[in-house]
Order: sequence, then C-alpha cells, then structure tokens
Amino acid sequence: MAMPEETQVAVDWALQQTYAVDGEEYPVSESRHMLVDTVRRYFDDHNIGCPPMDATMLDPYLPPDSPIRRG
Amino acid sequence: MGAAEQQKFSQYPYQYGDGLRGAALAQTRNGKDELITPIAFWELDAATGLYLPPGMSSNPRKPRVEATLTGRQVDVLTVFDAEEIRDTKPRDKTVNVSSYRLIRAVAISTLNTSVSIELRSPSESNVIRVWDGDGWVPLSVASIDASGNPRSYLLNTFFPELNQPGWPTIHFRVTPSAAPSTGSFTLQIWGVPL
Repeated sequence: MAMPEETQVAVDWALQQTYAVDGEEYPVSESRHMLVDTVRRYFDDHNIGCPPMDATMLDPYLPPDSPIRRG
Repeated sequence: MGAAEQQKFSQYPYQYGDGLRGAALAQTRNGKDELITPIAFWELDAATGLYLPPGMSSNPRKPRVEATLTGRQVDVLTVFDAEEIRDTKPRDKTVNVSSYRLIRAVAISTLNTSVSIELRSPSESNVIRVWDGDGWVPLSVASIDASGNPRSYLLNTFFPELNQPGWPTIHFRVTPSAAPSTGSFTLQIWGVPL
C-alpha cells in the first residue's frame, strides 16, 4: 500500500507530540503504538486519506536512530 | 565452614600475583582458601598508578579475565504491531514461542470498541477446551474495553495457561465487538530464551 506523500511530515510532527495515560505525559517518540494513532490524527486533521495502517508501514519514515524503529 | 573457621577478608580488593586487583567469591576447601569466580575487575592505569574499572583507564594493563556479556535476555515478538482494525472480521495470528522458557503476553488497545482475545489451538485454530472439574469447557475469552488511552493489559493474568512452559506456538484470535473507527491494537510476546 502506498502511503500518502505527507507521511514524512506527519511522522516528524508525531514524534514531537506527547500523549497522556492515567494523568501522566509520555513522548510519542517512544511508542510505536501511539505513533500510528498520532500520525492518523495528523491525517484526519489535514483531510488526508489513508487506508488502515500499522506501525511497520511507518518504519521507513522514522529516523535511523529512533528507538522504536524496526527493520 | 563453621563460624569459628570463617576468615575475615580485607575490605580492599584482592591483589593477584601480577598486581591486578579484583573482587571475587571465596571458599575454603580442605582447609585452603581459594577464589572461585572473579566478579569484578580492576585495571592498573600506568599513568596514574590508580586501579580503575575496566574501560576507564587510558593506558590499562590487560585485565585478568576478559568477559563478554551475552546481551539481550528478553526477546520481544510483535504479533499485532499497532494495527488499525476497522471491521469486525476475526484476526488470527500464530507466534512461535518454542524457544522460550517463559513468556508474557501484553496487549495494548486504543480502539474505540471493545475487543475480544482468544487463545486457540495452534494446529487447528479451533477452540481450546479445558477441564473445569465437571466437563470440558471452552477456554475463557478475554475482553478489553474501548478506551482512547493506550492501556496495557498483561494477558497472563487472564490466561494463567501462558505461565506454564510447553507451548510450541500460540494462536491468537482478536475480534472487535463492532467496527472501530479510531485507534489501533498491539499484542506482544516477551520471551525469556531457553
């Protein structure tokens, strides 16, 4: 599946975000799970269509030294 | 070795014959004190004359024992990798755990519908039945409620069968109660190798 051309921008933005669990903030850059949810939020906020994805589809867009990158 | 025979060791590092110092386990066998396995090492820094932990010296003598740590001790197997599920179709995935002596299964869901998780027979992917004392009943199905927060669920607490060794593979079936419109689903196995 081809990812939208805005995916790199979306991933870069997502890596700067945080998310809250039980009242505590955590960086998205440390969670593959939340990376997907946050990239989806970017797509939705910018009316960018993208079929259902998973974290493996975002690996090519992660920095080489990202702790959540695989492959 | 009785208390009266115990030797008081110096608080300073033991000094080997070649001048290197190290901490070690010690025992007395046949009346003779002996070191067993050195557990810490020091290197003599030629420039300062100080004993430093390995790697700290700019001009070290060769340490008495070179040890290499085996590295990773827990493997992470990803069964579902933050998958955006958007229908009610059951998803079946099998993971090989035959090389682990201990496993933990952890699920994370941000789906906006509840999701059921089943352990199924690896070979036939059908329902596993367990004896409840009166008869054979299907293994219980775990359910995770809808949540926008990425809560983690240790599935071993619902499926104590996962705490027992002997699984060649584990077959998971994940089924949403309704088609989710937001969120994703993750399931990992943490395995301690044999």
